[in-house]
Amino acid sequence: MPANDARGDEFDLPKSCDVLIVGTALPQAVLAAAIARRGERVVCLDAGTSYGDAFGAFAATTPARGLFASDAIDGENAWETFGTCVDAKTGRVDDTASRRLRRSANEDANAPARGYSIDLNAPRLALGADGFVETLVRSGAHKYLEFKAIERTFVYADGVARAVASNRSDVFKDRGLSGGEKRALMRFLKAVHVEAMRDATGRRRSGKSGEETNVAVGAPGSEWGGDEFQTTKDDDDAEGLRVENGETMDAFLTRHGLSASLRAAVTYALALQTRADCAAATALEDLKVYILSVAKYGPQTGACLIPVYGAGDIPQAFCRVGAVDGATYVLRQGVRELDASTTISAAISTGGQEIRARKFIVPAPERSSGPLLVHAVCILDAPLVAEYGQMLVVFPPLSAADAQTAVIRALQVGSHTGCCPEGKYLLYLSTVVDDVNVDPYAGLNAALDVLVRRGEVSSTASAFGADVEKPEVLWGTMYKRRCGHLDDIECSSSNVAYCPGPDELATFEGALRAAERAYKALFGDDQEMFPLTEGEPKETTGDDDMDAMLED
Amino acid sequence: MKACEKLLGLCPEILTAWNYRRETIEARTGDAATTSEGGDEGEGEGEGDWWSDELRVSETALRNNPKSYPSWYHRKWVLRRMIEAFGTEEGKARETLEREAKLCADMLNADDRNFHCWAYRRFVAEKLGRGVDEELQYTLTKIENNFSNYSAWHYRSAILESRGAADAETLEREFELASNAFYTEPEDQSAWMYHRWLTSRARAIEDAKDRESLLERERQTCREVSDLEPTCKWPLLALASLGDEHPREMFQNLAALDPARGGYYRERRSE
Amino acid sequence: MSSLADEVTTIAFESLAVDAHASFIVNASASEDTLEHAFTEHLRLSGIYWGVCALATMGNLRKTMDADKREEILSYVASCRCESGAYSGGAGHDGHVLYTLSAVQIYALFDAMDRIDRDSVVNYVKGLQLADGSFQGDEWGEVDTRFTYCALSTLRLLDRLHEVDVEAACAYINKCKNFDGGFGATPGGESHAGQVFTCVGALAIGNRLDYVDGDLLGWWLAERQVKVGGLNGRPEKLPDVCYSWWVLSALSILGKTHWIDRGALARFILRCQDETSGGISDRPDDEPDVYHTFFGIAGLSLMGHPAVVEPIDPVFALPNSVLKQLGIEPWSARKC
Repeated sequence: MPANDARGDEFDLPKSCDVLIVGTALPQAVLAAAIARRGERVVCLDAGTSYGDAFGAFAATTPARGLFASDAIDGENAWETFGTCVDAKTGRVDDTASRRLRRSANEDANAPARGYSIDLNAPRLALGADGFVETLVRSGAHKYLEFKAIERTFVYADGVARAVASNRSDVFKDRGLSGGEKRALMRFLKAVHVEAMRDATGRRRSGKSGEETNVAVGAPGSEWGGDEFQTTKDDDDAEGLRVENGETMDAFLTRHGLSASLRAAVTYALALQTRADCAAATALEDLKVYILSVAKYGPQTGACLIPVYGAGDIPQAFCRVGAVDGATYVLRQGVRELDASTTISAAISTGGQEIRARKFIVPAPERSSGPLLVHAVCILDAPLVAEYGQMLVVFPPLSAADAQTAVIRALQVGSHTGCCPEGKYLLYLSTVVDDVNVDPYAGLNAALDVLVRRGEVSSTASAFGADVEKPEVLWGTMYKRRCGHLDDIECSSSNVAYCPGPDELATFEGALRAAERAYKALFGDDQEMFPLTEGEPKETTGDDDMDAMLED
Repeated sequence: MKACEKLLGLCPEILTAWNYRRETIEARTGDAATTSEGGDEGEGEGEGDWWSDELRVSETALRNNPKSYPSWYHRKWVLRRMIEAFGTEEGKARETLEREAKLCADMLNADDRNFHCWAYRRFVAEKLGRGVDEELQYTLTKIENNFSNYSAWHYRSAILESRGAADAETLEREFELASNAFYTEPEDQSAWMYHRWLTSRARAIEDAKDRESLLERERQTCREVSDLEPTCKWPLLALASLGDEHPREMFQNLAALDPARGGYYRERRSE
Repeated sequence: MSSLADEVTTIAFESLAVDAHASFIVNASASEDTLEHAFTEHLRLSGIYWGVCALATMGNLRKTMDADKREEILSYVASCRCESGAYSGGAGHDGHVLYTLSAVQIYALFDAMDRIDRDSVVNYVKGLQLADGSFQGDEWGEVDTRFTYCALSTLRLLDRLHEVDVEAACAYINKCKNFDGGFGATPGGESHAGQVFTCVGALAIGNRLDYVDGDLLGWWLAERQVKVGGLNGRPEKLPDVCYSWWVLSALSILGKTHWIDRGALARFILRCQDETSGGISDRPDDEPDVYHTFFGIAGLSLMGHPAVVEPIDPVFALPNSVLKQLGIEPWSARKC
C-alpha cells in the first residue's frame, strides 16, 4: 500500500492539490478513488493509524493486542471515539470498566490477539446485485477483496429463531410453512422477481438464459419463452405489485396474503428494512435488489455477502484503487483548520503544514441529538448453530425487548472469513435507538440473552432448538454513536462536501449514496462516479470478476 | 495413445478413438487387467494402473462435453474391467468406485438433469452396494435443491419400484413431499407427474380403508391447491386421476384452461 | 376419435422455405475444409441420411442430386463398410449399428438396396443381440434401447426381421419402461422423448405396442409441448426443434398427435427456419444445422404441411413412397 505514514512534522505534504479529502471513512474512500479516476490530484489525510475511520476495523496493532490484555485502551484507540462502552459480558455500564475490553476467565491468556479482525461498523452486508457491488466492480476495488456468502438468515419471534426461505428451494423444504403460506410467499417472490428483472432489463440483466435466470424463484424450463414471449400472466402478477400511496410494507404484504410471520421475514430478513413503519415503496425496491442477488453467484449462494477479513477492508480497497490512480494518502495526519471561504482555499494539517486545494471533502460533524446507532461485538467459543459459519439473525421491532423500536441485526462470522481463529466466532449486533429516555443497550442486551450465555446471567434455552447449546461469550463490548444520515448535510458552499457517518441501513448503500451525492455536488449533477469507458461491454465482465472474488 | 488423447480432448464423440484405446489396453493387459505387460512407451507411470489414464482422458472429455455417450461408456468399460480384476469389496476398484461417486455428485451439482450421469451414478451405486435408503436420501437432497429436477423424481420412483409394492405409509410420505412442490410452484410439472404415479400406486392398495383415506386426503390437498390457483390445470388433472365425482365437468374445465391439450381432455371426457 | 386427417386440415401453415432449405443442405455437404467438418466425420453417414431424407420428403431429391452426386454419395457409403458387415459413421472409422441403419436408409432413399450385401449386414446385426434380448451398439458392449431400434429397423428394411429374437428384444424394451409410461436407455434410465421414439418405434416394428400404456405415455408426450408451442424432450427442459420429430413420431404411432396443439408447434418450427439462407435451428434465432433442418421438416410432415410432398413414416423415418417400394406398409395406412 503506497500510502505515507506521517509522523509529526517530518513528512512533506504536497503544497497544493485539486481535492483535499479529510478522513478515509467509506464515503471518503470511494470519493478519493472516483476523483483520482477523473485525473484530478487528490490528497487524503486521516488522523487515524489505519484506514476506514468508523467504517474501519479495530486497529490491528497495539490496540488489538489490548483486546486480551486487561489494561485500559490507550488514547489512540479508535474505540474511544464512540464514547461510553458497556461490558457486553455483564451488560453493565461500568465507567471504570468501560474502557476495558475484558478477557474471559477461561480464555487462554496467551491466545494470539492478532488472530482477530474486528469491524467497528457491523453488521453491514453487500448484496450481490446492489449498487455497492456494482461500484466495487466498476472501480476495480473488488480485485483487492474476497467475499463470503451468508449461509442462512433467521428471524426471531417468541423465543424461536426460524430460518428464512428466500428462494424456491427454501420454500419447498420449509416444514414450518403451511401450504397456503408456501404458495403466498412464492407467488409474491416470483412477482417481485418478474418486476425486478423487467426493471433491470434496460440496465443490466442478471443471468443469461431463461433457464439459468430463474433458479432462485421459479419459472422452470417449460415456461421458457425468450423476451418476445413475455406472457400476460406474468404481467398481471407484476401489475398487482403496485404500491398504494403512502402504504406501509406491512399493509402491502398483508394485501398480498402473507401471514404475520412471513411479513416479518420478508420485511426484515429479505427487504432488510429497519423500522416497523417502513414504506412499501422503498422496501419493495430493496426487496427487488435482494431477490436479484439470490443465487447470482451460484445456485446455492444466498443474496448477502460479507468481505473476508471484515468490512474494514473495504475502505482500504478503495484507497488502493485511488493510489493506483495517483491519489496521495497520509495517515496520522488530520486537518486542524480549514478555510473554505475563497475559491482556492487552504487547510492546515495537524502537522502544521498548509495545503491549498480547490475542493474539500470533510466528515459531517456528528450530531448532538437524534437516533443512536448501538453496536455490540462478542467473541464466542462456539457457533450459534453448529452448521453455519456465517449467519444472520434479525430481531424484528419489539421481538426482543419492549423498548425495541427498530430491527436488531446479529451477524455471526467464523474463522472462514479470516476474522477470528479457528473454533472462535465473532458475533456482531447493531440497532438504532430513537428514545433518549431508554437504556440504549437494553435491546441488544435482550437479543444477546436470546443468543448467548453470559457468565453469571442465567440462561434460557437456545432459540435454534432444544438440543442446541448456546455459545459462551469470551469477551465483548458495546458502544454507540449518533446515527449518520444523508439529510444531515447541507452543502453550504460549492467547494466543500460533507460525508456522514454510518447510517441505520443494513447495507453499504447509504455510504455509496453519500459519496454519489458529494460527487455530484462538487462536479455537477450529470457526473457519474467510475463511468464505464467507451466500448467496454456493459454486462458480465464485472460479474465474472466478482465470481472469482467470491470464495467458495 | 497420446495423440488419441489429444483428439478426444478436442472431440470426445469419436467412437473409433475410444475403441482404439480399448484395443490397445486389451492387447497390453491380456485378459488380466492387473498385470501390465510391456508396451509402456513412456506413458502410464504406475505399472498396471492403465485405468487412471483412461479415467483421466474420459474425465477431460466429459468436462468438455458432459453429454458424450462414448466418454461415459468408456468409463463404465474401465470400471467393469477393474471390477473383474479386483472385485468390489476393497482395494483399487472400490477406491475408484468411491471416487466415481464423488465425480458424479460434482457433475450433478453442475447439471442436475444430466441423464448420462444419473445412469452412470446408478451403475456406481449398485456396484458399491448402496442401500435403498441411502439412494432415496440422495434423491431427496437433489429434489430439495431443485424440485423441478424430474430426473431425481424419476430415480425416486425407480428405487421405490425396485423395493416392491409401496405401502400406505410410504405413499403418504411421498404424497407429502410432492405436495410441497405444488404449494411452492403449482405450475411445475415434475412433482405432478410423480403424483400421478403415486395415485396409481395408491389405488392399488388392498386395504379399502387405507386406500380411501389416502386418496381422500390427496383430493383435499388438490382442491386446496386449486382454490389457491384456480387457473392452474394440474390439481384438476390430479383430481381426475384421484377419482373426482365430476370427471366430465373437470375435463371440460381443463380443455378451457389448457387448450393446447384439448384433444386429450376431450378424449378423456368421453371415456 | 376424430381422424387425424380431419384435424390436420384445420392448421393454417405458414410457408416452408423449401428451396432455401434444399440449397442449405446441399451446401452443408459441400464444405469439406472446415474444422467442423473434421469433427463431424465420425457421423457423416447420419448427416447424409438427414440431408437426403429432408430433400426426399420435400420432393426435390432428384432436382438437387443428379446421377453423379448420387453415385458420389453411394460410393462414400460403400467406403464406410467394415469387414464385420457393419457400416461406420465415416470412412476409416469403426462400424456401429447406428451408422449401419443410416447406410441402409440412404440406400433405400436412393433406391439402391441391391447394392447392400444383405447377409453380412444381417449377420452383424444378429451378432449384436444379447441373451436378455437387448442389443449392443458394437462389439464393445454398450447397451441402449436406441440400438434395439436401429437393429430392428435395419432388419425390417432388409426384410430379415425374423433373423433375431424379436420377442426378447421387445420384452427388454418393456423392462426399460418407467413410472411415466416413457422409456429409458436401459432399465431404470430416465424417460427421454428421443428414447421414447426409438422404443415405441421398435415395438411398432416388433408388433408389440401392447407393451405401451398409450394413455399415460401419450399424456406425458403431450406435456412436452411448452407455452411457446415447441416441444421439449423431458419435463422442465427447453423446447428444441428436434423433439418435433421424436415426440410427434411417437404420438403419431400411438395415434395421438391431436393431443397437442399442432398449429402452435408448426409455428414454432417455422420460426426457427432461416428463410433467406435456409436451414432450421433448435430454437428461434440460433444457428441452423442439417440435423435440426431434417427433424423440423419431418415434424412438419407428420402434421401434414403441404410443402412436404412426400409424407414421412413415423416408424422408419423414411418417406412413405420409399417404404412402399420396399414392400413395407406405411404406418399411416396401417392404422384407423
